[in-house]
Amino acid sequence: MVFAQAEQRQSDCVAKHPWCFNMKCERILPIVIGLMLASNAHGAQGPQNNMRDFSGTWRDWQSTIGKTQTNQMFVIGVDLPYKPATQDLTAERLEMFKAGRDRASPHLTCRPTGVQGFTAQKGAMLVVQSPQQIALLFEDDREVRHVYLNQQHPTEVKPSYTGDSIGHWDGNTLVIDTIGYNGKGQLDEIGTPHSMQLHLVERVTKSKDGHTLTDELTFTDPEYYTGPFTKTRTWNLFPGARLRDYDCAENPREDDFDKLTFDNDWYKPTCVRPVKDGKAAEKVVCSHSSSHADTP
Amino acid sequence: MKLRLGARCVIGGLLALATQLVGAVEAGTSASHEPFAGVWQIDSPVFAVRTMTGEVPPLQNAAAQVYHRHIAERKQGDTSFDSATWCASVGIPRLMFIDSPFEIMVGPQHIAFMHEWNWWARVIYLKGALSSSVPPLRRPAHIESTGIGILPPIENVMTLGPVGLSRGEWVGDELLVTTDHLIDTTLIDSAGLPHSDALKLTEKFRLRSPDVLEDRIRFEDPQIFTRPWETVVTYHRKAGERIHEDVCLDRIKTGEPAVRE
Repeated sequence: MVFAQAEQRQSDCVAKHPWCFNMKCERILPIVIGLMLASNAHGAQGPQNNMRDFSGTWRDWQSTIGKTQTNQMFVIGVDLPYKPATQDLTAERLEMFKAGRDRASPHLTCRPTGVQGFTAQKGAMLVVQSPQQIALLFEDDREVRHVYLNQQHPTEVKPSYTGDSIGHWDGNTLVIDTIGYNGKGQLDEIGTPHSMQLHLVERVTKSKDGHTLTDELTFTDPEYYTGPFTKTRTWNLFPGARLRDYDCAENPREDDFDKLTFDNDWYKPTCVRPVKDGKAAEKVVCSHSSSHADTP
Repeated sequence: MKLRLGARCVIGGLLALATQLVGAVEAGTSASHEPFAGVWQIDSPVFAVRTMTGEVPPLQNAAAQVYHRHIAERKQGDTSFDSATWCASVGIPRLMFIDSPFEIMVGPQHIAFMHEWNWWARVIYLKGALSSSVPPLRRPAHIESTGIGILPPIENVMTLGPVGLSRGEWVGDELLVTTDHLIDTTLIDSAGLPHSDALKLTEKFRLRSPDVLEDRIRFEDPQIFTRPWETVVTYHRKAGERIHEDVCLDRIKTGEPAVRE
């Protein structure tokens, strides 16, 4: 009976006042007030209280220590379960790195950096997320990662520098599963290698205070390593940051390429700005003589 | 009784509305903004941008000479005036004109335009997304010295760049974006329309229909143009599709053009 009266009053209300929507006005008021209070409380503390909301700008915690950056911070290849040949290869690349004759990697020749782009990352990272996807945008080396949520890898993954990433939530931890690398990239600045077989699983968790993201990366690559290994990267909330443009290919000075060690001609430049006696030419010169070069 | 009920309804309705508004402001998004999300591709790629009335943009004399020189050089097969030839960024607004898809993601403080072309992304910063202090303009050090492997400084400096700095706000169902900090090493279009560091763009994005996105662009650059002018482009939704990794340097290695025309 009481409900019948309330229904009638609701019906009258809706008929006379469109702003009543289809709510039961008599009973909705305390609920609305409660919702509003709850909403305000959430707003006061900010979205960081949502443990599954990673959106915003972050930076590599390690690269902000003392406001100095050293390449040591970008090195992941220490005490890894190397196969003997991998150890030799890494040692060789380390020597080239120390001598300033870095391997001409995708990173140094302005391709997508791949794994190294977020294990040896230097600038800010922006996370934009939706229920279907989490996108990770990095200032330097301008990486863009698309993590598709609650989906499967394609049956036939086209190999790429960035790989194919899918994700799902395990509680409040985002689990990112990446395969489909083209094998051209490396794990860190010095050139710790990985192959096309690399399977990378990341577990990304936000701290309770909302100020830190911890990315626990587990690498499995049977071509180069005897077993899986895990490394951790930590990100601090960096609100208000702007991701500046990093246009690696903007000025292909010939002498910059001269410093590199090319173990694959694919990375030799198609276009260069010639340099003579330390002076760069006004015009960039392109040669397409290698237009039919095979990919490495 | 009726008055009392009406008053309650008014209060309830207003509170419900307020709750919705608080939620929308807090999240920075609303249901009307979500349809912007998705993968889009331009309907008619723009090689040489024209005004709304189909005319050549109103160039200052010196800029007109540069523009015509670019056109003549391109006719002779020389595109060395165009840094995109060697896969430097085509920049904004040219990324909005070329035949390459992009994906929009809408966040509470940031909107990401993730272009397929050489995996460039533009971030649009909504209110509160940027720190309030904006240091003076300067060119990034790595462009002055060398292009490879040099780390930019940590500070949150507002450097010039090919994509520049885009700030946005939702005005009803439209997204209003202003962009500046655009470096003059890029071109406005593939034909070779120049601009200066002073270029300012004002874009109004709106959905003409659920699957058609419009971008009306206003150009202001007193060093290049005699007056502000506008153009408009439209994009169609590529439902169910993703953008893919596109590596310009690998494409030109095989003889493909850097920018599809």
